[in-house]
Amino acid sequence: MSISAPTKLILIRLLKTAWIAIQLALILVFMQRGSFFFYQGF
Amino acid sequence: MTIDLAQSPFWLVVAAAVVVLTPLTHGGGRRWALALLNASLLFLLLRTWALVILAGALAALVLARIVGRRQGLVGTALLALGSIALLALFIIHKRPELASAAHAGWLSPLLVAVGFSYVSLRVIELWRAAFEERLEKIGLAGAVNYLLPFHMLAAGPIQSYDDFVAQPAVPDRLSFDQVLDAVGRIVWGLFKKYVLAHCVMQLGSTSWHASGPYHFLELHLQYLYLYLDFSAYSDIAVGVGTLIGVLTPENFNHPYLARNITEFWERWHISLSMWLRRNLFMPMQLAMARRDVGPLTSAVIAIGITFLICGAWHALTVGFLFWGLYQAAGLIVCHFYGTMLRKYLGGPGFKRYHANLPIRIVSTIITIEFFTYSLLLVGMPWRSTW
Repeated sequence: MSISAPTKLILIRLLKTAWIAIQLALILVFMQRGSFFFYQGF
Repeated sequence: MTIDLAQSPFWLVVAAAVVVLTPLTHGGGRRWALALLNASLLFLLLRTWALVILAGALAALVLARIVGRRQGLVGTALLALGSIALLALFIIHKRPELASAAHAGWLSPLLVAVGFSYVSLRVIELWRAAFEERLEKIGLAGAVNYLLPFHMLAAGPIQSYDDFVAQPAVPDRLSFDQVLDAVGRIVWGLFKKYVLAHCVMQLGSTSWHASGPYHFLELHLQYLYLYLDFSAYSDIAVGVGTLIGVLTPENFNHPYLARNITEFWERWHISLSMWLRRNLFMPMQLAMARRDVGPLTSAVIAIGITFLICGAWHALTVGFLFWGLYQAAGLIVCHFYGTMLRKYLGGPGFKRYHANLPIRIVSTIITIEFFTYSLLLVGMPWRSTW
């Protein structure tokens, strides 16, 4: 079964968006556990 | 000074920059809008103290203009004075206790907030361009945009002056996929920082209380943590830079795959390595070549001095000076070994050596170990680099 180029493009975009959503969800979960951004400067 | 970026105005300025800069198609308007956005983060962080930082950027620009026009003794003398002032600020930034002793303690939080180590490197590039008569008419807005880019303040990357002036005044409009990739890059950076680096620290750190084999494992975990934490910031900076149309150099390229320490420094904190190469290593090499110093001797001297300064740039401590010398020693051995291999194996033999997979794997492991053990010299605490 071959996938047409436009379908492939949409699938790639959907996958990228889903991966962003998964990461964001995990970031939010971890953010609940405390603050991590402590900028010390260099 | 500690800034909680999760609650800081950084993201507010990112959102404002995307909204304000995207529709702007006039180069001058865009430049000033970006300068105001860069300044706005300073005002939000430092309130009226931001004026001191902006005055400093203006002073750096004025000095560059004067140096650019008056070559010769006057230009050199002004440049020397400026360099002494820059060095003094750098020492105050790195050793705040000296600032307090000199009743200049108020300066330290300002220097920390703008990431003065990075700003100082940009100032040097600006003055060097002026001294070499390469200074473009960048104006105050351009100086603020180059010296104080809000998305590269905390931990770089360090954009070169030539790249800064070469970028188009109005960037091309981004496609949907480019926007998606840029957002993905920012989120990947946040994921590395909030989730991956945090997990490595929570699960692996004993704050150096463990002894024996775990101490060595902890050392490796800290290398991993440093990479995740530092490269996360670069991912965010590159992603934000793409969204707002500001050329932002890559800072990491899978450093754990480097097969030797020379390649490692081409993959780890790339913008710093390139800065050191442009402003220290190459000028020193050229100067020594003019004085007929042999290539191997000049390489040893140039690498040694460059990485001694690199160590001092990270921190003005004995540990970091030794760390710099340790890196230099590795680079010098690598340089000699490469020269020797080329000499004895010849061109085709050297290519075969490079293509050999087992050699590649062993070399890569040795490189990882070499860098990891350098962390012992500086007694690196478990903490964020930004």
